[in-house]
Amino acid sequence: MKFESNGRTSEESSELFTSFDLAKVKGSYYDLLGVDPTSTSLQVREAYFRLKATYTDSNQAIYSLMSGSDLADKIKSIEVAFDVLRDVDSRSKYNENIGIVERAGASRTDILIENISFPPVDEALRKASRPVKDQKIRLVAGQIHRDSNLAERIKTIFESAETPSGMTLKAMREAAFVTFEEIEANTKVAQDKISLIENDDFLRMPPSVYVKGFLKSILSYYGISDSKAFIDGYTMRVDACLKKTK
Amino acid sequence: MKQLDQVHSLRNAFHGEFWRHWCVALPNWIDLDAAMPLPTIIAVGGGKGGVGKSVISANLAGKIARNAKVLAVDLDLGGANLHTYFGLKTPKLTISDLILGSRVDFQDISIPSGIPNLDLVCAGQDYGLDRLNSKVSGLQQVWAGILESKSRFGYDYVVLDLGAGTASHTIDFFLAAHVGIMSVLPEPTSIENAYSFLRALLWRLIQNVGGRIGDEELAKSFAERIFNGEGQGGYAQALSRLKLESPRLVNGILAGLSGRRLGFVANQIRGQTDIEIAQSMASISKDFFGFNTLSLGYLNFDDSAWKALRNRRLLIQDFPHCLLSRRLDEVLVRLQNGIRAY
Repeated sequence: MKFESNGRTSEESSELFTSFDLAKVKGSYYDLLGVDPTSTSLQVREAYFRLKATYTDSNQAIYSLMSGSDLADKIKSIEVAFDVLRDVDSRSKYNENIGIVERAGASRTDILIENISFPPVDEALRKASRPVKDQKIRLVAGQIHRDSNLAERIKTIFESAETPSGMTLKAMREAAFVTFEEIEANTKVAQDKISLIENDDFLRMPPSVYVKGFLKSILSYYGISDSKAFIDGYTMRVDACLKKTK
Repeated sequence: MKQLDQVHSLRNAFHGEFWRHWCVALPNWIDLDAAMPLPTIIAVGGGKGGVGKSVISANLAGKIARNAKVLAVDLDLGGANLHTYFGLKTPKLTISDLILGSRVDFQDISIPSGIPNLDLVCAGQDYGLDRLNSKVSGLQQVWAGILESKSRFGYDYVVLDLGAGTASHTIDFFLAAHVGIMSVLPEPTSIENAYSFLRALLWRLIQNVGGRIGDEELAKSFAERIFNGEGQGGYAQALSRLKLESPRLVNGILAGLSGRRLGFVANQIRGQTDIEIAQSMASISKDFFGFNTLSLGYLNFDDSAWKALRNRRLLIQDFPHCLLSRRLDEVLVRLQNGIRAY
């Protein structure tokens, strides 16, 4: 079986080794340290320090699984393995003993740092841990316009409204499955203003000329074009309420 | 997300050699057809109660449902509460009806969860479940429903929310998963229970392989030898020493171990030093038990989890952009990478 290590192509590893069996690696010092024979001395050193940090009494993750003497045995075997593999000469000798064939004339010293290949960066993981920006929110909201079923459902909710009220807008928002944040990001209408409109809280609203603009952009965000009657009806209610209270 | 599409196209990877390896550790009363398309099964367990199994499974299912059709199954029989995370009440028909009663189909007990693409199968809070271990025929229907959910209902993913403890049906459902997620808190009690869960898992796996091979006695004696004395300093090593005595059984066990993945999530992390705990436990479990492990990352301690729960809504609905939600995204990406590595 041809062995290929992480992040290295088979050509790269074959520079040093002609070929070797996985069976020969099993149970060897390489197996113990969790590295493969193609790894550089830096990688061996890294694995050693990681294992030493793992198998200590202070590590929470070891609790209840291994006793003190087990840990001591484990650390001892790791030390022995590292003592052999850390040195270029003793590592070559060890390879010879267990039957891993190195290419003739290959020098171990030249693979120390120059030829290290780092594993490729996981783009998806990087993306997942990045903070969310407006762009991403817009992408979610954009689905309303792509989903024709959803757009139709929102339209029927809009058309079935008898009097123009915030209840209709609330029902539309819940059907569209979007949050205040998403509407805000797409329409530039502040979240508290959207909530005022949805709750028909006329007393705290800005003058009706502003409400007109808010309603226009919110409704166009939901994909509704002929919204004039609704907007006029709504602003008339706002004005009527303000007149009464004044 | 592009990745999930790629995973869909890889669903055939759950056949062939991998399928045989996955299959060998299932209880022998489960009949399987190699031609049947399987959903990707993800189970969330962890041994101890209160480590966030239900939070993780509900929110992970919600996240996956953005791109694929998902079925979330509450398998905490007798202590079911997954429906509460979705703001639902216990429905009339539950898994208990399927197990204890009859004339109920798996189709009848799945309900829409209120999130697009995500359906829910709830478990009831019945008292008759002490009969469960003997009532295999009822469990068989649950198994059939889960395994056929792709071919019959078209679910791409099935997320199993398991209960605490090491009951045999819990362990069997965990073995059914292509990726089993272990939720661990950075506390000695949780870690202790996680390892006892893994011991029970290995024990059950050996029994099941013995049942499949037709030599339960030998499997039992092997398991006893491994767990008493010979497994000192690592069960995986003890297993490879026993290979000379019965290569067939041990090869079966090794195949069963390689046919599934075990992911570790460290939950409720409050300090920098706890971040490495999932990585550490993954490497120790691989070394000690021989499981095929993954480190899925960590979830920080965040009040938004219980705030959302008190609203009876999902965390990803109420606080979609909070830090915890982003950590869940990372866990999901690592999970997909683990599935894709098959």
